[in-house]
Amino acid sequence: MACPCEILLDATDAELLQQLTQLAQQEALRIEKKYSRYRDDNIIHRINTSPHAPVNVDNETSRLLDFADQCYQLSEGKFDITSGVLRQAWNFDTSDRLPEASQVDALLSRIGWQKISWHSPSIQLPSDMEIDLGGIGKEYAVDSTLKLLSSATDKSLLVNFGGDIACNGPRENNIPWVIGIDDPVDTGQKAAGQLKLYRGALATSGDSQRFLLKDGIRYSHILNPLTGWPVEGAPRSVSVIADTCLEAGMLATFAMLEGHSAKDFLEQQGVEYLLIK
Amino acid sequence: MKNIKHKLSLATCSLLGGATQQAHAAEAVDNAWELDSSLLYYAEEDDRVSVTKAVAFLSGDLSSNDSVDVKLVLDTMSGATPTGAVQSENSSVDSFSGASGASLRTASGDSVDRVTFSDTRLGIAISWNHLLERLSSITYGASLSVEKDYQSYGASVNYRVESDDRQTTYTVGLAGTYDLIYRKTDGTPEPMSNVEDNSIFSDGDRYTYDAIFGISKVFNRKTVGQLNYTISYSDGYHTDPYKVISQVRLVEDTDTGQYVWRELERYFESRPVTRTRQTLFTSMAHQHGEMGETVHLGYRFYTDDWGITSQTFEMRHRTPLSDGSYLEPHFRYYLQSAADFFMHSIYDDGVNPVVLPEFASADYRLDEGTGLTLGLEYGTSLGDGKLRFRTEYINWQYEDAEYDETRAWVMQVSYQKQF
Repeated sequence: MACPCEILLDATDAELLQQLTQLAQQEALRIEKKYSRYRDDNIIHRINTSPHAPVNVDNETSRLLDFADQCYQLSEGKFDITSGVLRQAWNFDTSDRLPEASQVDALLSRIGWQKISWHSPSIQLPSDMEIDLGGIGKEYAVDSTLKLLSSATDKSLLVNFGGDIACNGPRENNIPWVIGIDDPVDTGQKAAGQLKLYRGALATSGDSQRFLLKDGIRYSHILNPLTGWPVEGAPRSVSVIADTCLEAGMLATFAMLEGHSAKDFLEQQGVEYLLIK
Repeated sequence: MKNIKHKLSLATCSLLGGATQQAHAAEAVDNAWELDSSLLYYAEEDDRVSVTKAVAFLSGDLSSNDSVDVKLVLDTMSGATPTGAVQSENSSVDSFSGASGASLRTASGDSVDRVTFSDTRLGIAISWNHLLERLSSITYGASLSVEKDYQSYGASVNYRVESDDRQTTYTVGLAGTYDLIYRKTDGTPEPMSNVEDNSIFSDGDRYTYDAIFGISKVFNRKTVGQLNYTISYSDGYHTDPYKVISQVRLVEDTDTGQYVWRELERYFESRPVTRTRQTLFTSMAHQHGEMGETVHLGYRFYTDDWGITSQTFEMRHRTPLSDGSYLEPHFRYYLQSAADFFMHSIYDDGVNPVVLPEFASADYRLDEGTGLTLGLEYGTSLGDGKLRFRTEYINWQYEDAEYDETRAWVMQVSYQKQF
């Protein structure tokens, strides 16, 4: 998952902690192995390399694709698991190398979830298109791991995969978990704020190290799949608290995709959030 | 700017619903077929009707857009059921001749108020579901049922569409059924004819047309509900060829000097040739509690143009047990009014000549009455399938019918497995 993963357990039982860590590791690796786009031995690879051929998927993948479909609908096309091909034009290495407009336009024809035939359990891609569950996978892994660990213990615990967090309740004596939010300006060095988590999950969408800067304009790595260009006016970072990590993550991502209107969007959802401009 | 949090919550919930089971399950279960088989035994007390029912239900995918269900039912029925006549100790009609007598005579001893029967029914129903688009599907169904004195042929089509967020589903359906009714040995008796005349016609037949409108909705992550309306029109032979009605008179018993009811004549019953039925059914399932306890509530309102109105209240509550099994008590209360032409018997005052009504039936099922069902289901996993046991006790009470109570037990064992 290319990020630090941690399990916090509010107990002093080393054996239990070790057992839980092992379970968590297994689950995280299972999901990564199954859905990473960097592998050539999983269902994502099979789908992406079978143009014009229906691929039958298992239940879990089917639910993930249904979820991606819902996110596409709810975001009115702004969250699109087919938009990964834009990476071919955009490389967010904090440099000033913007792609050519023609290069981006050429990729747009290869994007659009609505062009994909998805009738559970069968998916069929046109040629030149691909899907990537990266925008969901980490949050899903957090929720799934928490669910697994919660069935193994009723002690208070928190799962943190690279800043995407879920807990099964407050710590002992009803003390909240206190989560520091990374300051995107001084990333890894100081906290821009903190959120208290009594229950549920917290996820952050941000561009602390992934952006382009040209002529004083900062290009966020949040790309609008409808234009192929970065969303204008997107906040540096949005953290959201919700019932599940998936929900928090999607709300944070959707907020980023709203650009200038990110704050309005979050207000409208009635969730607790921390937004850094 | 829209609030999408609620819908996102629902989507998240359905994604995470089975996440951990999946974590342990084998990958890629493609095109799973499922077989659900069950054996049910139904028995009425007092040596009345008993039914053994074996059901096999097979469902699976033919392609990514098509699935098929096949249901096979084999029933064996036997026992004795009330004919509608008054009980034999009050009858002066003690034997019947001809074809009718063969089945009207004798249930136990010399009673002629019950008819013994034994029959086997074979039913088969096939349905084919085809996904038209992402959110809509159509289901075609065909069914056939055959027993010694009854045949039924049915066809149906159902269209289903989901809202964009998949939280609401609308269903519209049409169905047609053709039934052929006769007696085992011959056709159907002439309605309101005297049993002794033994006037038998050819087979009776009946056409039934149904229209169904349904809506089901996910209210929140723990609550789903549905509402269905069905209207059904049938035209043809509705009379039960085995049911009769007695003509009775109050007479003085020469031995005791008391007045008692005596059966003087016996007629075949007669029912109208058309029937329009309407049903409104609503149900809700709600998950609550730490362990995922689920409560199901159902209410059904039924009315028809024979004057019958009925209501059914139903409740089931499923409690998951720690080992993956569950316990589910079941309660149902049913009450109905009598059909306009239901009567216990045809009254003969001994003075005026009896004018036979156009329609008359003494069938207890058309009487005013109530039914109470108490049941319990236990489900557990066996191998990689699911095993269920169910038992129910049913008690019907009728207002005016000659046999005013039916008590029955149901026992069922089912096994469901994917392969």
